[in-house]
Amino acid sequence: MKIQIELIQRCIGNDREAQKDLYNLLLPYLAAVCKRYLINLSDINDVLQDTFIQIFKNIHSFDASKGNFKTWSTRIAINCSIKVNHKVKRVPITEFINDYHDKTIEPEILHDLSAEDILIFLKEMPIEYFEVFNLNLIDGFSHKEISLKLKISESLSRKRLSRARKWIAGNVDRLNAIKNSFMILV
Amino acid sequence: MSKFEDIFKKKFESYTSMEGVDPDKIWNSVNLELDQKNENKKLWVFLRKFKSFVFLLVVGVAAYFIFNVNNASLNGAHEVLSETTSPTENIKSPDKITPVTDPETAIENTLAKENINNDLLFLSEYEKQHEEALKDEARLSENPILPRPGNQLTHVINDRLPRQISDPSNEIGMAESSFNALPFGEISNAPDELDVSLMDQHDFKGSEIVGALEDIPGEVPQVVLDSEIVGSKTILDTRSIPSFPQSLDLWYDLDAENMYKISIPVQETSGSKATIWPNEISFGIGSNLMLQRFKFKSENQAVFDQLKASTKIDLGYSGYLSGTWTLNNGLRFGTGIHYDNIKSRFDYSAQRDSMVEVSDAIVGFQDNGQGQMIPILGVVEQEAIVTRTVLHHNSYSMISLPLSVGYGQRFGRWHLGADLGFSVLFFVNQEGRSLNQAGMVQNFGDPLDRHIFPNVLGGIFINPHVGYAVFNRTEIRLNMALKQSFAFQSEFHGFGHSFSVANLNLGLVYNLKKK
Repeated sequence: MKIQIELIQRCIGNDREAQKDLYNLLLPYLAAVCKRYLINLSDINDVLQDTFIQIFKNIHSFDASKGNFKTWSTRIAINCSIKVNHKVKRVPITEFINDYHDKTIEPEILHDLSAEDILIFLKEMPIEYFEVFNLNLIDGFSHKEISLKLKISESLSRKRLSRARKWIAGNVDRLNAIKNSFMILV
Repeated sequence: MSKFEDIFKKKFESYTSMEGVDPDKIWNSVNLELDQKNENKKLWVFLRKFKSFVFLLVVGVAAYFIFNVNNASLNGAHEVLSETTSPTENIKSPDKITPVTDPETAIENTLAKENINNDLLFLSEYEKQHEEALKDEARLSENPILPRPGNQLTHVINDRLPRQISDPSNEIGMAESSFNALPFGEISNAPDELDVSLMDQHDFKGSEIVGALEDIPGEVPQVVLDSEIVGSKTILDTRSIPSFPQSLDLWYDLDAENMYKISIPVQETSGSKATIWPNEISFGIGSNLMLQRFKFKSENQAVFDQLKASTKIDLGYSGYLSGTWTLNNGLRFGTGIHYDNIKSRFDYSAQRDSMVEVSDAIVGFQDNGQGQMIPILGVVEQEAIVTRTVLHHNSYSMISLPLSVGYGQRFGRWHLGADLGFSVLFFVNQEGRSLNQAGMVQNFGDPLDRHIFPNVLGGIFINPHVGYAVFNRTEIRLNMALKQSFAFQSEFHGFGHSFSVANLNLGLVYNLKKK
């Protein structure tokens, strides 16, 4: 996805056609981002609406020297998603993680899986772990940034990431099951 | 990051999904929101572009509102007062009041009998009175009022408010009037065509001086019942007031920049560095509560006692260039040039005037049997309370030059200091229309009327102040200035006056230089 700077400038100038073009360009990607983060997928339309309003209202503050537009808009989508997630009543984590060290992950397993399948798999882990996993490993936020976004301590952020990794290691069998079901379907 | 996690990341980098997404619905909502934003933006742009118009509109609505309120309260006051107070309650001998045949005075008498203690004057009325006053002045300049031997009190001091004429046969007659003389041409008391003036009249007793003889060649001298040669100008012109033995003004002034403003240079420099460049801009808006008392004695032994309280809100702008040399020990020296421009002023004042004693005053006239009217002497006592509400947009511009020495210390965000100094103030521009004591319009920017303002004021001051830096460059500062001022003016027939001022000044100080 390549976003021309001219398009952004036209959007800053409140060119409605340019805004629509940018919207069409970003929507599939940002929808996927929101889908990754949202606990309740039924909120996705509202979150995307809020995301694009924020983007167009603040587009004048985008600084191309600090990063690309995709990253900038992704952050807005993540913030909007997390904001909605905060309203969701969460179930306390009761998971046991004793034997996760015993299993290994073969990277080849993932090659045959789509992002959608991987997302289904990852979303099975406690949402608190997955939030940190998403923010740190997928979207590159530091633990300090995560602590501010999720309003948790940095150490807890690290713990959750560690537990997310262990959860993946411990549940790699499920990944295999997803892969096999995929192959059967094909 | 492990290879495993790297694969996760790459998978999601290009991951797109439209499942469960309604693009049209989202865009319609976004589109609607953006339209509303633009509408708000347009409104803001409009407000910014036409802020003057908006300001005038607000002022106009406010003036209309004030007018209506005053009008309503006026009517209400009539109703209440007519039930509770008799106009002659404070008159010792109401039966000795004689009717007046002069139409205008007759109307006024009628109003007085109806207990109208308030009188709302409008521009048309001002203009009318002004024209009449000009005619009076012209007539009197051609036919000057006959001076009574030994008594220079030949002019009327009362204004055109309801009054009754004393019985000529009674030396200590009764009269009813308001007395609104401002012998110094009090500077702020200057409404113009936007003014709404509400005058209350209470508790008046005494003989009114209603006029004198007109010496018209070939004709029998007549009593001039409506010789409205009143107002500060007339009073000052016709009385030789050698001095004001006592005068005291107490000003409680929340206005940041007032006419007597002696803004202390507040620039601070580090160490021994000094600069003459301005480093601060201050803005202020506030109200003044002024209490002042004048007491003076006229040449004909009339003793006036005037007590006035007023509340004022000034709108205007000011600016100053100042430099302060601050020593390491906190001692500082400052000077600068200050410019003030007051555009509008809301003024509510209550004034109690007493002419407690007038010996040999003209209290009436009688025919001497030879076809001539001669004045009747009497003793005048009168009291009046006048309240007035004034909104005007006269323009005053003045420049003051302070010199100060002071001491200040900073305690974190707080700043405590005090300055002692001397200031000279020049009026550079006075324009507008004012209402004099008679309710007559006068353009006080006219050269003929300009003398009602002291052109040069000087004073000493001490100014303790406390400031709090709300931001790095912005400080809220409270100044308490105690001033003793003097007027240098030769046009008041040699009189001079002095006054003490307590000035509480709340302003916002912005440092152009980062601390």
